[in-house]
Amino acid sequence: MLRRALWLSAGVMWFTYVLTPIALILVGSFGEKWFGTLLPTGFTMKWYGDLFSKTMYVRAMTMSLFIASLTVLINGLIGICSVYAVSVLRVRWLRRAFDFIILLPIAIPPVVMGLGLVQAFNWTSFSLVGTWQLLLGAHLVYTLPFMLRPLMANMEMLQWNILEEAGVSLGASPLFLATKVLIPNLIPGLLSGAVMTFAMSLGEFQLAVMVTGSSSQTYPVVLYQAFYVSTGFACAATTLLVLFSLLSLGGVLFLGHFFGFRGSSLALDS
Amino acid sequence: MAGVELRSVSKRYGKFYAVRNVSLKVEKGEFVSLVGPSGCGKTTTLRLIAGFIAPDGGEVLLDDVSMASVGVRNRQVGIVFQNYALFPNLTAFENVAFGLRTRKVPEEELRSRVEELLAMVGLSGRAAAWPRELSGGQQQRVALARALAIRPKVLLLDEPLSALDAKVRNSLRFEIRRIQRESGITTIYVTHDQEEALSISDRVALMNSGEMEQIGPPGEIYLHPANRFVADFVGVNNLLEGEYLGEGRFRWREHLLSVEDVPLEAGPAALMIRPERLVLAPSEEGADNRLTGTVTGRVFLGPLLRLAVDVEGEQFLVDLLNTETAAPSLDDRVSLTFSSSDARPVGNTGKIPG
Ligand SMILES: Nc1ncnc2c1ncn2[C@@H]1O[C@H](COP(=O)(O)OP(=O)(O)OP(=O)(O)O)[C@@H](O)[C@H]1O
Ligand SMILES: [Mg+2]
Repeated sequence: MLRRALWLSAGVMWFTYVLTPIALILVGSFGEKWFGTLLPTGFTMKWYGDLFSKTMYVRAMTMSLFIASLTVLINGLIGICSVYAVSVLRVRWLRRAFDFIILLPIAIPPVVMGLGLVQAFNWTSFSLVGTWQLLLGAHLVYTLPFMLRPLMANMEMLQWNILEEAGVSLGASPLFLATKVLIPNLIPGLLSGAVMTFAMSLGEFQLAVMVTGSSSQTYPVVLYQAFYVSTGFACAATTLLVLFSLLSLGGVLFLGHFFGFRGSSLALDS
Repeated sequence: MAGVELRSVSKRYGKFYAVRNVSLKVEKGEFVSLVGPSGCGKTTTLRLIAGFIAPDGGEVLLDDVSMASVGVRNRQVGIVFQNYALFPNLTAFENVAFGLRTRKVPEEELRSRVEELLAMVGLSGRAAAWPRELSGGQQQRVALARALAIRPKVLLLDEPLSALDAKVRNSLRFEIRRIQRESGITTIYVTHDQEEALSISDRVALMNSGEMEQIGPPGEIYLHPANRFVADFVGVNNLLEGEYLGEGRFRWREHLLSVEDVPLEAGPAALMIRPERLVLAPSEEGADNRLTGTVTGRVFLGPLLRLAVDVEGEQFLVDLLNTETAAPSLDDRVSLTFSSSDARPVGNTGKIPG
């Protein structure tokens, strides 16, 4: 009884706070006018036409996809190297320190981090503020914990120490072991880390708004400005972001399914 | 030629000796079990042989060649782990093939070798199965085949059956022995189960607190334990605390017993008498080595009937064949006797290296 009530209220909250806004925005993006009524009136595709004709939005979306992809790629590499190092070194306090360090960016609000970055890299002779490289760096730090956590859970479940000993006794070199055993077995963790980091980087606003300049603006930053244009246009712009997020999620799930039949079925709820 | 030889090998962690001064010589093709209580250094010894850790003193030799400067990867040892340690992303076939792929064995040869090994462990039909689709016993068979694939100089097994249930364990233990015989591979088998060790080994090596207590054939270990620890660890025993007087005489409380004449210094010692060597005496009359007590327990063990007999406050276990019609019942007074050759005094310290 209690369980059912809990499930029901969770369902209602999800519906109210997640599904309804997205549905309204989707509807709004096709409406001609949305002013003073519950739902928009008229049907039009012109907002999407507007969106794709404005280079600022297209460029920002490209920039966002670029940054998010790089974030996933680099953090994936850092993630694999880190969990490998932690498991190889087998030093207990190092593990604890590691746990702490990766949690730190979660504890610090992005605003604080953004301000710090602006202060630290804004020299008069040469400023990094406004470059995409600085934003990439910020996103790397900001999202790394979410790549590391599933990877570490994955690694733990693998019992890598023993697999490594088995492999070495069979004559495998470190490279052979990494490519034939370690990485294939880390794919589930890597994929769930990738979904998280990609989505976070794609939708991240606070760091982006502080750190980027006109040439490196990401999509959430220009999206914020879209609401000053018109409601319909803003809805179309938002829908596009949601679409890209969902596409990336779907892509990863597909990859997961594709690799899933080969790899071990590791549950990754950390 | 020795397949494996340890020469006074020691391994320390801080000041604590995990393995101390252990010497062991395993002949080529021999099956030796390493037994002992938990924490006595069995795994450490195995890891020293495999090369995962380096000894602080002494030397490890494989096929009479010192391994001091040879790493794990080049030692050519096959290892079977307690929890199988199969690669989860590879099929049974590819797991077995792993060591051949690292050696770049041509595809044709690799295929026939892997198939031969899978047949040997009775898994021909499961070549394409993923590890998670196999039972524990089957996974361990794959692990065994994988270790044998590289034609190792020595096969090391660390409690390979302890994660399996009793029935599988019993059948697989003899299968491992059969495969070992067929392939003629030098094998060191770690277990904490002395019964398992006695049943499948050519020789048993008994360890305690990092030291080797006794190395010998199962019968030798069982009948002639080197010391108190071995007598206590192997099989069920009656151990009487008393004093060895030399020349086959032993004093237990008021009784002067005639026992096996062993080269043991006179002094405090324990007298070991196996339960199956104690005999119920028909009458109270005369004779040496006679102890009288009361039956306090009876346990039915299939072919055997085990009695607990209280003699002056000390409990004796007596095994009778279950064919005896007139077995005593509870609270009966009985006399126990034994021949002097069945009572062996053991000291606290003596060791019998192999
Ligand atoms: N890396 C290590 N650091 C410190 N102490 C260790 C280490 N490895 C083993 N030891 C200690 O050495 C002793 C022997 O350990 P080992 O694993 O060889 O025992 P074992 O005979 O295999 O026991 P078990 O039957 O429980 O597996 C133990 O007391 C253990 O605590
Ligand atoms: Mg052990």
